[in-house]
Amino acid sequence: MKKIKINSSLCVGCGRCEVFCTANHSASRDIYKAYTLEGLRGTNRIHLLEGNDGYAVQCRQCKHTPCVFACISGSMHVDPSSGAVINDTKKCVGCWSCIAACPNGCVFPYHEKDGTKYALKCDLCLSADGEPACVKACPNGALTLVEV
Amino acid sequence: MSISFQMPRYEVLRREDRCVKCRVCERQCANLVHRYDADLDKMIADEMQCVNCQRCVVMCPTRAIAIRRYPLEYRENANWTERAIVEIQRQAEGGGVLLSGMGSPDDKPVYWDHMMLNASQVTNPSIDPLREPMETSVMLGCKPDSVTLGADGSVKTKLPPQVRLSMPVMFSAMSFGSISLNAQKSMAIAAKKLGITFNTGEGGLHRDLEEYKDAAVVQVASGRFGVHTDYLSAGCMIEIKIGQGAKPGIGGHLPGRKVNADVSVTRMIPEGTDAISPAPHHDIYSIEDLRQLIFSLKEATEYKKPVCVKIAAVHNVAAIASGIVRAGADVIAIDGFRGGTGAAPTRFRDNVGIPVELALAAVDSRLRKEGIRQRVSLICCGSIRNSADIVKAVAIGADACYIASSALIAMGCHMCGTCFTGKCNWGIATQDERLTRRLNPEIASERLVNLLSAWNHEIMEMLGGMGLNSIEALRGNRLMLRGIGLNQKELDVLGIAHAGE
Repeated sequence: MKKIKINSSLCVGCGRCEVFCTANHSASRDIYKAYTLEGLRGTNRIHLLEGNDGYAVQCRQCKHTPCVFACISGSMHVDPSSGAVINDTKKCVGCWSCIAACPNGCVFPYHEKDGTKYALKCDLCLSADGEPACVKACPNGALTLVEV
Repeated sequence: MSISFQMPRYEVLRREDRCVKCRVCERQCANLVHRYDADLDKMIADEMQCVNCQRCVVMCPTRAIAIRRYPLEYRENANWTERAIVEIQRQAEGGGVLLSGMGSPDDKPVYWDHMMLNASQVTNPSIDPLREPMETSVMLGCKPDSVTLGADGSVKTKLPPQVRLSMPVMFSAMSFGSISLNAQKSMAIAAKKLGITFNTGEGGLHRDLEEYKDAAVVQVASGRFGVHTDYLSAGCMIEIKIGQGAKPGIGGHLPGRKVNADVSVTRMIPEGTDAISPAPHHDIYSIEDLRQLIFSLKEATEYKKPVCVKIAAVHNVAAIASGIVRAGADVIAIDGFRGGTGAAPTRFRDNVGIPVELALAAVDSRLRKEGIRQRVSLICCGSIRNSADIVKAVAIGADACYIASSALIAMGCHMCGTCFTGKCNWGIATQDERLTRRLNPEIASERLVNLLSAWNHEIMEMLGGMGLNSIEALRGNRLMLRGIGLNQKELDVLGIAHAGE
């Protein structure tokens, strides 16, 4: 199983990971369109902790999966092929139990314009193919995809 | 109270059709140029603070930013240029000595660009380094006048200590204090991997770099910061810094705000105090005094390390170099006026010293004439920009070249020339922990290894083209050079013929 690891001493706090995360989970996969036409500002699954020694945090891919246990709809699940914890947004009912359960604060609520709501969390960019966007966008090698 | 006449030097161009207000530029600018205004829902820029370091340009996820010269259109005047006017305004306001970082940007002749290399055609074969052996390694140090061999062919003569370099390049002196530990560590890692050396500068050897000590040249400068017996024995060579090309005749000044706990321990000075390197070494006022220091250092290291003396290229450099050889130095480094610096008074940087090409040629010729060239290795430094500069330097007479600005550029430096502010956005010329972490030694050392591997390959190709199979065969081989656009006096000093001759 893979997870994204952050080396906090290398994080430069630029926030490029947030931008590329947002774009990679958009329909257009284009930064400008994602932020403007699609209105996806703030839908990044990785978040920069602001401050002098801040660093980026995203899902730790915990083995004991508290978010999966908390899920009332069965949307939050362990992907059988990759082993990653991901949320099936079509099944998600937006009860936010997973958000309450996550010990790292890495699941976020999202409301679409039509009222649909669901939880957002890092899916290791499985939905977008390839190496996670944040890892690719990190200018200093602080974010790495590691086998655990 | 009056208003300042100073205008921004650069303009921030932000393409609104690309900017998504992600604020990456704002977070990355240590000069606080970019700011998000919530009322306007817009990124705005304080251009007075911009130094054109290009950090925001490179980091912007949508390539929305460009920096260009501020369109300050004074009335055209070839004498009273914009720079001349602005410098007067700055001094009229501040009343201080003008400071500059990096090498002189002045449009003075670059002799490397006026020399062309030879290549084999018909009468002698060129060599393909991919198929045939090609040697670019060099040994630095005093060579004996003669060698006696035993019956089995082994060398009987006791050879003076030497430094082996896998290619004729070394990282030049940049102290911990003037640059970050990560920057120095990047060069140390790269030097070890490449089989070359890095230089501690005058700031001592940080304990984290001890594992790279075999690749370290340890410097002893006029401030004697961080110098002790273990330090002297740690490196592969000791360098006495007499002068620096960017500021011949003056010392150095590391501001107290850059002297944090780590720098203080390494330099052996109190935290927060200014580290002042005097203009002269207070124990050197003659060649005889220099000899005393050279032999004190040799004595301290049991004659196991070669001792280098670094001088700035100045008017009587040939005579000075001759004296240095006779004082017992094993290596001489000559630093030209275009050499870089963390901080130098602008007037010194742009007006003092001579071009290193002419100095190197004069020194090599003088030492040959006096029959003492073999007693010393020559290092050429002061703005070596590419592998062709190195090949030309070796052809004039250098054994190896020091590079510093090129190495910094490989690591991320964008030559904005504001090293002395301590706010280097690339994490190089700063001790601010938030900024130094921007330079990942693993990534930066790889970039250095890439750069120098490429240069080494290019050197081999150029040697092969000339029909030579070792860098030793090129040293002082000025027949391989021809001048273009140079007058007779310049050709005479360089000791080369004009193209077509």
